[in-house]
Amino acid sequence: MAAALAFGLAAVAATSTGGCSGDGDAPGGSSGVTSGVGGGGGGDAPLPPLVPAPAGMRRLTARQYVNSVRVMFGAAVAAAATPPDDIPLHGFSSIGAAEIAIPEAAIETYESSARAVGEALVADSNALSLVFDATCAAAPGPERRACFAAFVAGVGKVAWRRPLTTAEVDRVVDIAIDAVTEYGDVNRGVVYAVMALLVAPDFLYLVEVGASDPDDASQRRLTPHELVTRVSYFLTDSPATAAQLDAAAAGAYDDEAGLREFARELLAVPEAPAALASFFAELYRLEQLARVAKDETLFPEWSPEVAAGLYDATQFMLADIVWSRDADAREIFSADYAFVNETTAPLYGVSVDTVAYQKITMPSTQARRGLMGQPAMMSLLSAANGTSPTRRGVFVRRVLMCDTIPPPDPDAELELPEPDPDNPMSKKELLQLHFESPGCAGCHRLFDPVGLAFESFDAIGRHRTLDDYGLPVDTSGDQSGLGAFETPGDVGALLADDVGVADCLVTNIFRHSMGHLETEGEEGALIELSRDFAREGYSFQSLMVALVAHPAFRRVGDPK
Amino acid sequence: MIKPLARRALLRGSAAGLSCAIGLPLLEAMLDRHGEALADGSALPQRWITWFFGNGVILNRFVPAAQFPNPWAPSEELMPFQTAGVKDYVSVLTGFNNASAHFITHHEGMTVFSGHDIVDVGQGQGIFSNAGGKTLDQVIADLPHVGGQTPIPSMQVGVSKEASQVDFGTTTHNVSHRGYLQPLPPNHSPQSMWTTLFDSFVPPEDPQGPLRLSVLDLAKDQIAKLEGRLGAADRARLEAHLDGIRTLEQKIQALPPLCDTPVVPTQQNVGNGANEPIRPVCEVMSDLIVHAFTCDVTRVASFMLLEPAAKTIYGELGHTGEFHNYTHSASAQDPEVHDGVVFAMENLAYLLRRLMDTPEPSASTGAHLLDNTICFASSEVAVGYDHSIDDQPIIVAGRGGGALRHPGIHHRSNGDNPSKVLLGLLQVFDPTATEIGSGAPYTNQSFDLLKSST
Repeated sequence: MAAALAFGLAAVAATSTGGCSGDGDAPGGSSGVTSGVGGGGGGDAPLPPLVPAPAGMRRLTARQYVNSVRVMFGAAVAAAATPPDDIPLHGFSSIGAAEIAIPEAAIETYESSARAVGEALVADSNALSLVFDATCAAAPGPERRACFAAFVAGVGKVAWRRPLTTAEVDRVVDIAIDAVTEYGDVNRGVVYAVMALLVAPDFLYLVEVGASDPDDASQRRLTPHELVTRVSYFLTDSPATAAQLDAAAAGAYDDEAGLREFARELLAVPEAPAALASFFAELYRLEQLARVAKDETLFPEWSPEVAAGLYDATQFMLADIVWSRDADAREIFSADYAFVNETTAPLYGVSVDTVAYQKITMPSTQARRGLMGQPAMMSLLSAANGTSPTRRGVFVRRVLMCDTIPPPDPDAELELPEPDPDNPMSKKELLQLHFESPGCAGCHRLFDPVGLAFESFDAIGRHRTLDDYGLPVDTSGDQSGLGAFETPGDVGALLADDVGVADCLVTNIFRHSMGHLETEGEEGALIELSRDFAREGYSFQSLMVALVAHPAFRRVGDPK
Repeated sequence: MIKPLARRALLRGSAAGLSCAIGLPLLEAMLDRHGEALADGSALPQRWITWFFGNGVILNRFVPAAQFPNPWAPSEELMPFQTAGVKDYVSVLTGFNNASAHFITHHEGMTVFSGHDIVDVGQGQGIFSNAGGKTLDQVIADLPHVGGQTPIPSMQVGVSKEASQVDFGTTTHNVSHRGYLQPLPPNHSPQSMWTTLFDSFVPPEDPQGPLRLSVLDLAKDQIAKLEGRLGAADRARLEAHLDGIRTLEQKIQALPPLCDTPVVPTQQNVGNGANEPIRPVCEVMSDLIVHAFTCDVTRVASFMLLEPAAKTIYGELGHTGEFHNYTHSASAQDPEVHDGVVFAMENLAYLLRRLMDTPEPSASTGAHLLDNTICFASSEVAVGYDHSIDDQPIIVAGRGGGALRHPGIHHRSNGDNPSKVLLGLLQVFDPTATEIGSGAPYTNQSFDLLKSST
């Protein structure tokens, strides 16, 4: 069973009880004690001034790409789109999209995806008729040109997120007409026009370089088209519509009130919950559930269907909090209810016999609360053949508390003694040997105590009283920076009450929306957003509105 | 010669338009009389493979006993090369100490493939780093007489789809990098790799060729405009984009491969955990590399068996736990660790054997692909247990067109910088190369003992 224990056995000496610092200096990576960046509990002390992050360009994520095609041509055509996979950085596809170069092979993938979209469009007479007048295009000469020009200008505006110049339209129409001439088929023209629009860098990149602020020439702010585009992709993973682009150009979102109203409108469309679900799927790694494998002998109950059900169950909980009730988002950590159906009920230890998910209160005997009570998370944060308190604890510290966990010390003693067969030790007792090793203790004290609180959930999230070694589970502990607890449910309550955890949620949505790790110059913005989050009763919808209305979201620095 | 000729070159040689059904006699006519070089006197194609296996070896079961000038005898973990009959084409380098200045477990050892130290270490993200520069496979792919001669400059394949949960940044998820923040992710799908290699060429008279080029022209013009509006970091990304466009243009302008292209593979890279079909996928990916070399679609490949610290489970070996975890238990002496290392070597040996069994298509002298290939294999650590990068295991296979010693040798270094090995091998492709890498692993000295001239 050594394998199940092995993850993260190495550790580093801590420089203080607060944390193994010295590994990095990113704001938000505060060590140990989560005093917060000023959120709910903090007073309104003066804030450091905003220094907007450098301007730049971001590649469309795969979801944004597909949704862009959907807005142009409808969902059926968008199903043909096959953009390259995202490359996440710092845990977010949006950051990878802002920093990592397109891999060489992806250029051909984009080209074949664009072709597939074009072919799907011409094969779908309904979708085609909405954007292209085929009868008119069958006409000869100048009329045909005009028809293609109308098509290119219309869908091109959504694709390139701005009106096209006459020269730009002409260039694409030239390609289309060449194709029509070459093949004697109007549809070939459509396909090549679509390819030209979708292979274009002006489609693939969101360029956010801004312009000089008319109210303050020393500052740059996003242009109206850039701003409406940034807001729309953030809140819905979809481009602004032609009408929204026009409204932006007319100044509808120049002031904060207009922008907030726009954000509220977007939060009401069906794509908004889908976009946020993908954020949570990435942040909490739920998207990896489909790839989680378990030892078939130990966990015959595990299956792709169960994994998919657990994914849905957790997303239902998150959606219930954020969308159905617009409730206090800290319930994410402390909810005493869960969404369960017949597939997932056995893992939650309850009895439900419907395919539809039901919201039910969890039995108090399990102390199963919030995100860390979800079998989805417990399965993700385990090995194939047993639990991993270390993975669970590191996740709490890194992802939920935004703490820095440094890599192991090169000089750390890496081997735990083998358990004595005549004197069995629980997984907790074995892991606590880390605390006796000076090289390990500093860091493992940062995450093992809280990770061990979840030992009452097995490697697929079922409640239990005996651990992987068949010895009684003891979930009690005391985690520096968080507090003392008896049960995993207590940890959920501690996380919900911890101002640093709420601040960390703000930090994470900020990173995701902006496509970069927060800079020093954005520290004040994070504090303001955290205060605002608290003031608004921790409404996540309000947080997203406040974020897009914040100058940090609307302004940019010089290009990076 | 069966390379996909640039359309330009073909038109120069023939007044009439040629279809793709060019017969072999014409190809032979392009060789010199001995079939050992091209008609213009240039050498036969030389090829490069970077081969990666995660989590290291068990040194006391890997390092061969004897060393040069004595012949080496296979250790337990190197036995697969003898079994496959390729041992004489294999050299083993041990005792090289990676010079990276960092220690964040599974990252720093990846510098053995580039000589560039890792950068952006930490960034508040714990086990995080980015690769600091171009890997050697890409340096070689950039050479005009290597990547410049083929429709695809290089290919990247991966086998296990599992990743590490705790390693972040570009370093450990990719074995090929065009540069800083320019990873080339491995393709895990045999079908997709096949399509890229063999199924997306344009026949000469197809009007889609010019149309596709005009679409790409438009994209290039937009990049030129964007470059003026953006800063240095984004301009570097746009340059990479432009390089990608040029590569696609090169492919569109090349003729379809004039060889017997393989049929689309049936083996799917499906399943997860203990159900990943690792050996079958290794074999089909190896076959694709061999076919790509035979057809001269590319001369450079990288192969990632499994990522460093990945959650991969070798179910085919009866394992129930992650291989990475086995390497961290009991000083990595678990039998599963040894089995996993042997398994990796078997899969490498399969590729080498396939290369050896495949005649050099443009030669009539009995030469085979392994004669004109150099394969550099290593891991990101010496031993998974302590993440040590001292004594990082290195295997160099193939003859490099006669440039490398045959039979291969075992040399045990006294802690030398493995970047010197990279530079020595780069010089086989580019005799003018004088340095490699950046940061602590940088070197301007070459390790030459592998060269047959020494």
